[in-house]
Amino acid sequence: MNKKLEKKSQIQMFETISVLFIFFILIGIGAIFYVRVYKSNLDITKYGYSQSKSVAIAQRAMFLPELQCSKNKITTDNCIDLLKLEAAISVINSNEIHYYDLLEFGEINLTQVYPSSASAPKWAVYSRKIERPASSFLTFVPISLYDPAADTYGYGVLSIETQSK
Amino acid sequence: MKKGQMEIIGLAIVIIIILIGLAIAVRFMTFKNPENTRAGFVSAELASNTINTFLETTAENCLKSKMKDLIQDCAEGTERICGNGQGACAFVRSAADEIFTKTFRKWKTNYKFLIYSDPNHPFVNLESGCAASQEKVSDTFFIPVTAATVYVKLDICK
Amino acid sequence: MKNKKAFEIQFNWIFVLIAGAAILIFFSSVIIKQKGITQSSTNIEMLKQMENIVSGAGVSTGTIVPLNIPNFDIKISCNKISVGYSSIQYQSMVLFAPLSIKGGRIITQTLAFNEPYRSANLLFITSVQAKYILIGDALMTEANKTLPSELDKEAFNIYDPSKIRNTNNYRAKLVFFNANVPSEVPSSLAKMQDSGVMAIKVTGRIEKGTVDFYKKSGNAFTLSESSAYLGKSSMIAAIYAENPEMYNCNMNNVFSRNRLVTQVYQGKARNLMANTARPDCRQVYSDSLPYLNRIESSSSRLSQAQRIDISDINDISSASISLESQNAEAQKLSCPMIY
Repeated sequence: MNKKLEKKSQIQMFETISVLFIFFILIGIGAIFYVRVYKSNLDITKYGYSQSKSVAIAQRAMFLPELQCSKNKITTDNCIDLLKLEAAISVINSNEIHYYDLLEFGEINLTQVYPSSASAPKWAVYSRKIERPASSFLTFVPISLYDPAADTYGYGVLSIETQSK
Repeated sequence: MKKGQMEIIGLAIVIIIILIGLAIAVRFMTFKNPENTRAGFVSAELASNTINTFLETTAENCLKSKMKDLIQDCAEGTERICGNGQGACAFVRSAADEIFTKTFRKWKTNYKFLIYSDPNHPFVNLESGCAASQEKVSDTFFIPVTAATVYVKLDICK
Repeated sequence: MKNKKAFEIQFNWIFVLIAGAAILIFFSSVIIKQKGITQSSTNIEMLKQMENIVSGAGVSTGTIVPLNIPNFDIKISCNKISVGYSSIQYQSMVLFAPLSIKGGRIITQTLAFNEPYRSANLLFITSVQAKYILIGDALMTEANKTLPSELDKEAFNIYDPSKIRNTNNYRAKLVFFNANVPSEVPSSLAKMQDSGVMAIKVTGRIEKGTVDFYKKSGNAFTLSESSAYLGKSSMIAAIYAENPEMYNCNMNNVFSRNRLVTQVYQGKARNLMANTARPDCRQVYSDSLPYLNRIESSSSRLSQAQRIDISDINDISSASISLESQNAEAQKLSCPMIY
């Protein structure tokens, strides 16, 4: 009878421990799934942030005072002054850290579409690219190219590539 | 079978069902498409900037006239003749065609560009790959002329 | 046999207690950890909103935008915005605001820094729970017109402490325009915390002048530091800035931008000089270069100065006036304008 009693209590203990063990396994499995779903949501949120950052950087590039046309203190939106452009490129290249704060990783190029010419004028305004970006967005912005010397407006395209790590 | 053994099998079946259920749920959740918040800005900005920039562009070899001046001439019928012998309407049409070929067609973006006073007889009608049923982002600029209003409309089709 | 049974029950209870405690500790730690993660996540969300506001300021100018935000305690300092333990660091941020923004409703305002050409947008942020008391002459009227109507502000031509009421704001700022700051704090504000009450004295005109920052020490105002401003936008900046350190730090960034934009205009003037056939136009551009050089060198000094110096401000101001006349001359001669 004592032997039976011992066995019974041992079985009960074993049962309790195994129930707890299974319970924690279930909790663990649930936690793994939860973390996977959370991580997936985080990736989606991160992608959303990269997109809104790309929009912000594109807007900053479009409205840089270094490039924008102005006449008698009045700035013209959606316009780049060609005579300021070359000086601006030089200033931007000499002050990398300052412009990285504004434009972060990416590249900004300007191309003249009209009037067309054999040489197809193109300017590399800003470049700070990373080799393997986590995300990359390219935005094309049609923009007027103003030549103050000739007082004419050309049709250009500002291509703004923004990258995230 | 003993009672204990039956209970263990039951527990195992419950665990398997829970695992299958979770696997299905996670698969549905992870297939959620990321939101495209940028697309709206890009399309709206592209439509607006394209028309604005086009209208302000100086016509090459045409007495420093802007495209919007040539459009007004075209609408009023007082066509000035540009250096290459083209009238205002033809000049605007060829300039628009050149610009859209080097931009929208190159980017493989579908569009429809119209300039008209009367929608049934547009002065300029350029199109690439837009179907009537497609979702579009549009912008329209208005140019007042003597007897009417000229509409410059760009549809960017998604 | 009886001993074994008694032992079994006690052991069972001990075992249940230990196992139960272990499970509770485990789940409590998971919950606390998750709460921390969610809090950080919410703080970062708020920071992203602030980042969008700062970005937007660089694009639009002359705008006033009231915003409803969650009731966070946003801390702003030189080149840094913090919410809780999360923060964003900038290289050269231009944002004038109280050190701490409380409450669910904020006002943002942008003004262009046009000395003499647009080189930066100044962004101002404050809470509707902060109070601004403006006292003085015509300059006060100009400032009052420029500040948003949504702000909790009061304007007086003459200082009368009995007219100043305590409306339960967490922050109150007195701004004296060409008038002396009283030695005593108004009695209605005396019981507020020292850090919640401040005063500034603006001396000069809309074009330029000096700013003296005062802090509350008990019942008295004591002068903490003097600085200078150039143009309406930087005068307004002194009103929004919490203290002279924030004002000077942000103005350093503004003049740093001004220096870079001036370098671009120097390049443009040289390009115009090289590309024009007309000798009268070339003369105008040649005459404008020394003024641009002065603006560039003064801006360079001010971008690194501990304190904004009135002598450099005067230098930029006089060079700007001369440059404007050169620009007007270019317009008169039908030459392409410098800016």
